[in-house]
Amino acid sequence: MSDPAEALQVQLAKLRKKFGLALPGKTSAIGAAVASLVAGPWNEQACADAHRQAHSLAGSSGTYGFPEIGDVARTVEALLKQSLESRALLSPAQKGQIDRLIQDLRDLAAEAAQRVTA
Amino acid sequence: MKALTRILMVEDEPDIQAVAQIALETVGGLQVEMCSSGQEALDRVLACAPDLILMDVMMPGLDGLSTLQTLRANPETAGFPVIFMTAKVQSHEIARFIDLGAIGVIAKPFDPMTLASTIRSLWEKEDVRSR
Repeated sequence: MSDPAEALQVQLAKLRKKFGLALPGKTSAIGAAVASLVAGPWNEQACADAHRQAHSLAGSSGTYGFPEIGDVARTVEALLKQSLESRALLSPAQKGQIDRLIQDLRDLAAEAAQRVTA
Repeated sequence: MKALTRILMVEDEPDIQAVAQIALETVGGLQVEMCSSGQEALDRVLACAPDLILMDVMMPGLDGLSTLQTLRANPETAGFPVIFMTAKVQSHEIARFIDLGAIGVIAKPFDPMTLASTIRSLWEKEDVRSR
């Protein structure tokens, strides 16, 4: 294979499949981090960990061709950033919102994993 | 004009490291040295002697901005050109990165197919070859 662009496409397809298969695990980890955060008193380290995971998923998902997951992760990241900056637990309305977003992430990740194996 | 051949990439996220390295090496024909933190970049930059540093902004520990400021504060490392990769691409944030000494900003998520050409374009636009 002499065309660099073609060679890159082939390598990217392999990486995308690997990333897509890992997405359910990544979203579950964020879900667990968020659940732990909202269950107890405000914990800066727990919030920072959850924020970091959401930030990573937001940045990498779009690059790997899963922009819809990146968009949802970015919203989760923004909510967690508010909590970090205010050093306060999410409000009940924000908790409801982040729960829905986490479920959306799980659903989208499951779909993505199916898509890359199809 | 000095050719752009060697890049020091500073990125803590393994998924981004993997895709960027393949993109830069396969299509860009560039040599890529990878660091996972700002501190690792500071430790390795002189030995690596890159033509360019491609750096994430938000990293645990020493973040991209602090790493850039440390590089600029040392006469031995002050001249290394830096491009940031970040999701923070609002105009005031880009202006802040440029004010701090970055030669350009690449938005995340990025297109792996065009990453190398985007970097070359920023490199050629900036007269940094005479450091």
